[in-house]
Amino acid sequence: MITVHNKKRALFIVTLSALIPVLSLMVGVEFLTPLDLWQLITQEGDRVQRIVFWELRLPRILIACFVGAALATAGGVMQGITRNALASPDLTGVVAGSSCMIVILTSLFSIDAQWFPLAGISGGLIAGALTFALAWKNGLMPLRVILAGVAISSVCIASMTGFLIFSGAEAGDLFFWLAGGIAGRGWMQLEQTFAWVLIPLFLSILLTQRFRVLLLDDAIGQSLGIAVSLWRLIFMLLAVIMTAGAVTLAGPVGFVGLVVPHITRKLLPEQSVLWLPLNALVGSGLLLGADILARLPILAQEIPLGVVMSLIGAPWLLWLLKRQYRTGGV
Amino acid sequence: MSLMLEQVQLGYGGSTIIEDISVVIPDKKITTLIGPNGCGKSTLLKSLAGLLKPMKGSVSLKGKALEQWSRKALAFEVAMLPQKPTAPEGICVKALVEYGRFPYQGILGGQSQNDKDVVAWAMAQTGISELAERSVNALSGGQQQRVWIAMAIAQQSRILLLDEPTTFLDWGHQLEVLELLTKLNLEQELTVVMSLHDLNQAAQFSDHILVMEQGGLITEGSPADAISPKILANVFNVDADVEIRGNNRPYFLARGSIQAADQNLLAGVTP
Amino acid sequence: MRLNIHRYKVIYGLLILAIASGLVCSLIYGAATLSLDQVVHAMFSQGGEHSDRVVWNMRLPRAVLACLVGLHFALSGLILQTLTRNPLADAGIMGINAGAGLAAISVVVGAALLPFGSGIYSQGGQVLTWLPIAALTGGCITAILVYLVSGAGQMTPLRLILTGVIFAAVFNALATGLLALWGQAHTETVVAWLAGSLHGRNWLHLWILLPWTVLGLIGVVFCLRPLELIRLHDDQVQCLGVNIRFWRLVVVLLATLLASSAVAVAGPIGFVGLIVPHIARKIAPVSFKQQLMLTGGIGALLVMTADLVGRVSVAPFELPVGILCALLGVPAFLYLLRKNP
Repeated sequence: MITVHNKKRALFIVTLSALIPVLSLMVGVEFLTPLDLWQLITQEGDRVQRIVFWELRLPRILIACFVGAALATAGGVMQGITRNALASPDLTGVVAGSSCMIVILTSLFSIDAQWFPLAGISGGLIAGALTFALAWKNGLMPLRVILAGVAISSVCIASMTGFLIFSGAEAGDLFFWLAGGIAGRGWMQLEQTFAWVLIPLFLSILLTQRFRVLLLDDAIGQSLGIAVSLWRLIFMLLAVIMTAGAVTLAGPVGFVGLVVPHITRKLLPEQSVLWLPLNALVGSGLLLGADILARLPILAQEIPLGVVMSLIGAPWLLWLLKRQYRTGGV
Repeated sequence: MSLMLEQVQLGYGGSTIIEDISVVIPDKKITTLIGPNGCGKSTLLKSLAGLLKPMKGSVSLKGKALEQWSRKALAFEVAMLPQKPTAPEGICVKALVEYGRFPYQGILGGQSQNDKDVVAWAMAQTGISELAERSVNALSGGQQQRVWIAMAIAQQSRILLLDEPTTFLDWGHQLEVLELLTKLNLEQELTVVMSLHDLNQAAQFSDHILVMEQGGLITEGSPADAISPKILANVFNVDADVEIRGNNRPYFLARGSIQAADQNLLAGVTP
Repeated sequence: MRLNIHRYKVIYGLLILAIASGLVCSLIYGAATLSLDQVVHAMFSQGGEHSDRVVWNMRLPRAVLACLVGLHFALSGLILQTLTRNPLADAGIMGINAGAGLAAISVVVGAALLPFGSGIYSQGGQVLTWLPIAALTGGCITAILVYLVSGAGQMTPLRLILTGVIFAAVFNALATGLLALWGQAHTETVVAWLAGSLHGRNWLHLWILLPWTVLGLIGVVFCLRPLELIRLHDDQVQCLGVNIRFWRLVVVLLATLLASSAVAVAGPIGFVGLIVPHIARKIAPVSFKQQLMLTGGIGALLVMTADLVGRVSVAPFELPVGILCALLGVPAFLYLLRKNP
């Protein structure tokens, strides 16, 4: 099913994904040429440049990659197992649930940042479970999932705002985190969280054979001897954990999980073994690109990543909707 | 001058559903559209109501293209009952029938005595006067259909278009509705245009029949002229006997459906 | 019928009584509880004592404003639900609140950041006057965008809501980002505003909103008949002489006007427009006119009560009224979602 045309596209995307990190290392307040980069890697370069490179840029790029890969894969997994083209970590309330739990626990108990992932996962799980439970009525209708997600997100955002107002001094920091951004994140945050992102990411890619079965009709899956419900639950858990990890790192960044699976479906059929890894690749490329835009010195300060992602994601999404409407999808 | 289509092409978006139809709807008569599902009956009715602008040709009333009529002026001429009308939740029968008077009222509403009289008349005509305060959604299918017809005739337009008015009704209620339409046609000189699935009902209750297939008009005329065994075989793939009964109304009895392979053969054999 | 009229009289009587007592409670309770005497004194002798000023300059305008805001959101909700024939529609769900909020925030942040800006939201009266217009523009642009993307003439209610939800998500993200960009000094004001709050609102805010209330109510009266008819099948509506495309647009703009102007003074208060029309429909299942009037009244009562609870429950802090409304509204929303096919 992989046509020559698709191969070309896939090659283009993969090359782009490889180039973006390099570009990302170069761009910023301090511009580094490829030559500078080479010197920094092979030998000692300028001291300022070294700090910029090793302490600021590199961890940041890794974070952007992790976050993008996690959100995109989580989106792909969710869309696949619910057979719902609009399921994604943000629209189903998982992102809001994660953020909410982190804000609440921070303002109540001033918990340490190392507990953020656990808090985020528990919040995301509760919110996601509630959304799907409430939307379930002889199957998952896209609109019901979205509306239930809106409701759950609203509760989370409302409670979160309530706690933000009382949390006083920390509110400012939390607020910037809520706008979605990876500014000022470094090795420390990466160390605390990377396992929460990478382990479920690799697991879901390892288990991709099971995932492919879940894409089929339930009856087929069962006749193949697979406990469909159990595996669906496992994949949902993996998706939520990935999302929570990503939220911990970068705050609630929207649209990645929704848009990326639609891009990758154009390149590879969902059924392909490489589809989930491709999501991760394109997701990290997209987020890196957004991050480059976020720190282009246009304004006096960095633009929050959430804003850039919305600006990129929104037109995409509208186009997607428009097309779905035209083909009578909804 | 009556409602007429001249070389009309109809469709939605880019796709064409009806190619080149020319029809004159006879005044003060009952005209029925028949044809298999998806042949364009609903589309044709929509264009007759001025709800669908023709891609080519023109639909005109009194010699003036429907696009040139204002919606309000057209409301005095044409009323329409869609296939699946929806009643607002909780609304009572009388309130719904009163909506039919909308074209006669100002933007702020306010019923004149005439409005009230017409509503009462429409409910009496359709035999729903006793149901006035009942909730529409709690009524049976046949009663609901009569309420909708009451609303349409309260509009006091000369032409009434109905898209499959009998589809969701049981046999008795189907006849009830068709008899009501015949009565309105005779007593009020109402022009009725409707689509029906049951050919015997179409033959029994209509003055004029339009047979459609795949967006084209196959034939038209009185029931006895328009529906022949050949037409039934070609349009519906049904092998049927036709028996002409009193007042020149044909009656059809199906012997069985015809597979596509038999059809050419049959078309050659039957006169 | 006669019985019905009596029933409505009783219901309206109760509603007016409830609003009046809510108003009195709003004047009495707060950071400091006043006596009824003090309140009465304040109403009839302006200025003078400290308690007089608290009642007259702070509590009274705020309570009245809460009523108006509730009326705005509730009516816009009923209008949108009628238009989309979907019981889950409201200005929040459909992105109008978010669009209006984003526009208002852009003006405030713009005024604060740009050199010729005249100060921040809480101080600058000048910026404030422009907010309803900015919010209205934002709301209208959003409404029209949502309308166009959902397929304009061929839109279905379902598409309208889906598109609205996504627009809301986009605009909310942008608004949060814009505020984060503005800087941390204003976080508290901003967070409260984003949640929908009536903190610190006074007569000025009330006078800014009032013309829009009047305009909106006049609009509602004129749209009443078409709105009633729009509940029927599209084909029928048109055959009754209603230009459905025109009226759909007018009605969307009316709902937008009501919601956006309220967003401009109070921030996006969600779920009022969603649940209040349902209560009104339960009370008056038949008459649309009664539903409209009840919706307005109950909306006013709800927001005023929520604001009072928010002020009193955690004093000396304040819970933004938007949070209370969301916490109240979401369970109702979920119930409706479960119930509807």
